[in-house]
Amino acid sequence: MEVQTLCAEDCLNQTIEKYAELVYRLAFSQLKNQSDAEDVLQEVFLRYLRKQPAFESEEHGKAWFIRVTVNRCRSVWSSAWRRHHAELDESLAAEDPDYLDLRAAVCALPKKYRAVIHLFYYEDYTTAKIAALLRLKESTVRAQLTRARAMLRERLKGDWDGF
Amino acid sequence: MDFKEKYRQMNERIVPSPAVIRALAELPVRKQRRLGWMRGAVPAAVCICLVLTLWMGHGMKIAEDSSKAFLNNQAPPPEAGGKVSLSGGFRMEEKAAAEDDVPADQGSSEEVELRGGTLHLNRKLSSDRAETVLPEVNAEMKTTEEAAELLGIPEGMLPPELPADLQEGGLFSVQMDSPSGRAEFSYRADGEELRSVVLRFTAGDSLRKPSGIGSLIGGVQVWAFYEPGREGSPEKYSAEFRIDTVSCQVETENLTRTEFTALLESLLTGGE
Repeated sequence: MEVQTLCAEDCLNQTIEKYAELVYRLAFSQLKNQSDAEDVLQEVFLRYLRKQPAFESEEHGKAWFIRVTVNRCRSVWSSAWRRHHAELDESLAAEDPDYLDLRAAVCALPKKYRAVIHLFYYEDYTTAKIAALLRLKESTVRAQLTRARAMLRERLKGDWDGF
Repeated sequence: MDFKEKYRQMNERIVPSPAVIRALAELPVRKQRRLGWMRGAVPAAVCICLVLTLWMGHGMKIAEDSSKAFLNNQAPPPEAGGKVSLSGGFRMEEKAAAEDDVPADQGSSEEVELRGGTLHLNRKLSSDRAETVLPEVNAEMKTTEEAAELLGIPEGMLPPELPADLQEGGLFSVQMDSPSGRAEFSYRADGEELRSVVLRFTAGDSLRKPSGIGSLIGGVQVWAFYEPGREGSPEKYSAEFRIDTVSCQVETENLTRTEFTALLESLLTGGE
């Protein structure tokens, strides 16, 4: 029993090490709020503990965490509390001045575009993979990506290129 | 630097705090604690639900009783097609304050003071009729006067053939159905069977002249009217007694208890 517990704790620690930052960054990019992102992080791992999913591969595990995180963020958005309260955008307050414009531009994007942008530019997923993760059509993901880029371009006024 | 690189660098800086990571690592322990707590919480929740259910059942009984009591005190509006029941009784001098003499099914009573005596005006709805009225509309009507005013018909009325035991606390009731223009005047003396006379009226008629009054039992018509005071005029209670072609009308302003008692007695004994 004790061996099992130790093993479980060890596995959990490894999983945390592997996926905590991924989950937190994705949640933060979605919710723009440290507290909410931390809540989502805990809930995702609580769900992981409850479900104890067996991952076939590291990629599978990553996809599972992304999927659960996105769903959890949607739940937060749709919660009654969230719908009746303005979200606190902490992302800009602590931002490095070098990235302030970029963060502001990304945060200004509609919610559904933020996930696509994050998964595409940070997690290096293809549009097909993003479509599978978000359960959208690939054409939808491509359209969202195109629109998000156009908005970012407009907002950043050509500070960066290479979209 | 392209957008992707800049975006990556920006996100690299976003990391969960060590405290959160520690909390994550402790999740299994906290989960176990929570489960342990829940093991005790489930029976407690069941007990609470049980108590609440019983309590609410009791509360509903109270609400039902209150509802009945409420309906007993309310008159339905004419547009709702409901019926209003007005009832009353006379108490003579010695009995005026003896509430024990009032039957239990009388409903609530309000007292209209006559000089030297007391007239009880009661409103009552039978239980089957109570189900057909609209409580939210009834709630607007607080007094018998308002109900009578709405219906446009006399509010209190004595039945014909006053029995001898009227002085001992007989009761009368008036049930009016405004849409059909039907009024049923019932009388029940203590210990007697219910007697009733059906009359017709037209809503909006003068208080003093309800139309379509049929012949009454024994040729004796006894009407008692309560007229709410309007625009500064005082409230008035009046009674009209008709014996064959002889009629007598009295009002509270001129009525003493003795006179009133004498008048009733004369009626009961077939006097003038």
